[in-house]
Amino acid sequence: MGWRYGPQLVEHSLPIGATSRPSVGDAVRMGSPLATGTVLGSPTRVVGARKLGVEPEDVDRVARVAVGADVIAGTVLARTGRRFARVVTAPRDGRLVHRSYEGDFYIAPVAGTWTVRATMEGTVVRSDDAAVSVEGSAWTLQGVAAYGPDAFGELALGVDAPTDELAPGRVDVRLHDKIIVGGARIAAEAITRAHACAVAGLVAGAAPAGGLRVVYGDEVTASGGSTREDRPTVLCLLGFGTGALPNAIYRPFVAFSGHRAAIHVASARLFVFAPEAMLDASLDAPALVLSGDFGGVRPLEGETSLTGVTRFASDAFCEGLATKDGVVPVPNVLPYDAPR
Amino acid sequence: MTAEPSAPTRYRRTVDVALESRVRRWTIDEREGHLSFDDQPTDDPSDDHTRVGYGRAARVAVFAGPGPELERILRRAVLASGAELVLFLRTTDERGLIERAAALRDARVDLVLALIAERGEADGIVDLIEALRLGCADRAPAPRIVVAGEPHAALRAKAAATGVPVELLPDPRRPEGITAFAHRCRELRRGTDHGLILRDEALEELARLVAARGTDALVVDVSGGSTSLVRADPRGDVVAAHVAPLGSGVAADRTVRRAGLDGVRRWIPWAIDAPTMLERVFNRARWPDAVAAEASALALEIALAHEALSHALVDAADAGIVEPLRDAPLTIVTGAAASFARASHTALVAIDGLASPMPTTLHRDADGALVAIGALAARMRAAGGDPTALVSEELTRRLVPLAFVVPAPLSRRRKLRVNGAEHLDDELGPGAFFSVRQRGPADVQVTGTSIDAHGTAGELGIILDARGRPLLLPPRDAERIPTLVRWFAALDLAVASVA
Repeated sequence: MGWRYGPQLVEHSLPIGATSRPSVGDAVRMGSPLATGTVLGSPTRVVGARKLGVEPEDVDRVARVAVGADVIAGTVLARTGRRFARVVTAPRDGRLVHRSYEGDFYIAPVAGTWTVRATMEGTVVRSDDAAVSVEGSAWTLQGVAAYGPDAFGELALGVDAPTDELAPGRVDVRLHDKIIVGGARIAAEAITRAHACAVAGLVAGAAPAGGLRVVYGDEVTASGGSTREDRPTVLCLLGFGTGALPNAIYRPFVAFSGHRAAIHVASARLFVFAPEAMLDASLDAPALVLSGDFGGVRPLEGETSLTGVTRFASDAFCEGLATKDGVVPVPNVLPYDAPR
Repeated sequence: MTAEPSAPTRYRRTVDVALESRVRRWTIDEREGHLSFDDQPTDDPSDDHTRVGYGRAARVAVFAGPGPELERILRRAVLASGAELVLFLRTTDERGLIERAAALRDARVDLVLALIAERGEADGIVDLIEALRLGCADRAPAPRIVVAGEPHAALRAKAAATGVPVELLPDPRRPEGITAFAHRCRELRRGTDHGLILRDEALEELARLVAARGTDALVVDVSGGSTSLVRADPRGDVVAAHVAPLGSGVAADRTVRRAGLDGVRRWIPWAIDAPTMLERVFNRARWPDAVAAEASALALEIALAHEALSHALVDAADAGIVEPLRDAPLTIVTGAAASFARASHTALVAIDGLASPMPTTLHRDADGALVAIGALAARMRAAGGDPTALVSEELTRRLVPLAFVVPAPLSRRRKLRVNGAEHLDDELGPGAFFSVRQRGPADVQVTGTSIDAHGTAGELGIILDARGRPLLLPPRDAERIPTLVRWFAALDLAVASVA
């Protein structure tokens, strides 16, 4: 399959402390703020039900402030009685973040703000404090792993051929806020340089795993991972090491150059917002081959034939497939879109 | 007129054993109470169809009071369940409500095990439950909480968990509590696939079947995405550690994250730079059921299997169950570690990974048939039957000794006697590692020591291991590589051609 145009569901997880988010059915645009919230400090617990002399489940009835609301020191959180009133007030400025089952209030200071932006244009289909999901249509390319925060920008080619490596020298400040398409590989130097030049994101067949460790830390895994802090965004389409892009994947990048795009890191997908008619949807990506030493991934091209059960250099026996680059184990050949 | 003898009844079963993404199918014929496994299975499953798989990943957080003993027990419960322990929060945790809630949200917890050891810990546990409510209440599906321990405090914790599904289970400090928690986690991993036999259930049943013959049995399973150690005794009692994700295939990257690059690289008998190795690890992790076509990839898988096994034992040590899971008179290796083309690769992984100081008869399940037998038996037992007699013959046929491994910690040169005869071909001194050609029952004595071991030798004979415990590898490549090559060569490996 490779590139395809169609409806996509994109889930954006939210950190704790959301203050605004869209309602289900709202229309959103790619790159626009989807939800905003506050970074919260250590909260203060304020005794509620016991001080008010009510049962915890009755605190709702006497509460004056909803969970999630901003308060200033002295704000009345809850109040009972008329002549001999019992009152619970906020001891500090901040937000009412939580009410415990025992009827106590938690007030946390606001230490900063966060914003989650939409990586898809369409309609909100789910919205709660945990996540906002958007459904929309776009040209979509599934990658194998992505790293960093979600990225938004215009697509720009950074290489001249699908087998080229993105040279750090090709990355400069003129490419700021763009998503650069590398070829078979993006070196760690190119990743850090792109970040320094305010490039929005990088897409390539593969990235060196060691370079990813340098950029994202030793905890990085092959599954990728989204981060919220300011880091480069990298989308690996085929694997790690080297991964020459098949023409069926690379040529649409040429056509899409200049169009708005987004990388959704959690699902390792690239969305390009271009007209459906722009590309021939029947352009199938070839199968992929994992090299015998696991060092890289390449597209399966040219004539192939089954060789039956074959003995490989490692003494392993399994069905083989003769390719122009030699016989490969059949399990090491997978369709582009195979789950992995 | 005489009645014609009736034809023997024949019953056909199918067992599908899931690998990383593929499935290996076994067709099993039952005639007159005996099973026979077909190595050339048909494409169509029979009506009696057993499926063995890993189930879905279950991410578990634990809430508990401080105390190392409590932590050991809870780790043991999680290891027995096959779930992944993603967060261990103590009531003394110094983080505030927001940080705890954020940690729980980021950990994407499926199940929380909250143990209230004594009534005074209830306040702390309730605070942790408040953090769970703040962090995960809106998640769909919401995480479940399993509360155990002091009954009154458990009820208070249950009341605090408004909006989150709660169950009360027996205290995991008692054996039935561990069993109940493991059962609950397995239900979660099975999801709606009620007929699925989990791989860890099959391994436990296999260990029970083998141990029922009168000897404690240890099953060591290193597969692509999980690593298990299961010990059973003749009474049927099982101690198990199922660690996921940790393995030599799709969890290769997780193994490297735990062991470190150098931890894995040290087992590769030639020089390889860290970035190159990491690329191979990452590609392997994202390519289910990939075949190591080149020797370098095979060496990587062997190294990963070594470390997966070592780190499963580290987890078992943290849970206080390492001794039973290291030493058993009979060891069976299953999974990817048993499927290497050469039996000696399997032996090296088991010997070095377990680093057991006790002699053991080593077996390997090269084609996965023993796991299929275990799965079939687990299904029968779950249905209320006793599978022992039915699978006995096939189990005997498949359970072929590979080697008799005798660790011999030595301080100076000694003499080796095998079945009473002195063995003079190899020098037995500190650091020695060699194989003595022998098949069948073997008595091994080392003069001047208390070693007097009895076991059964197989294809790899008797393996004498005087390298000492813990096994130490020289840090420098110049010494490490020749040492590793010597160990590989000792078990007849063609490493030279690769190097």
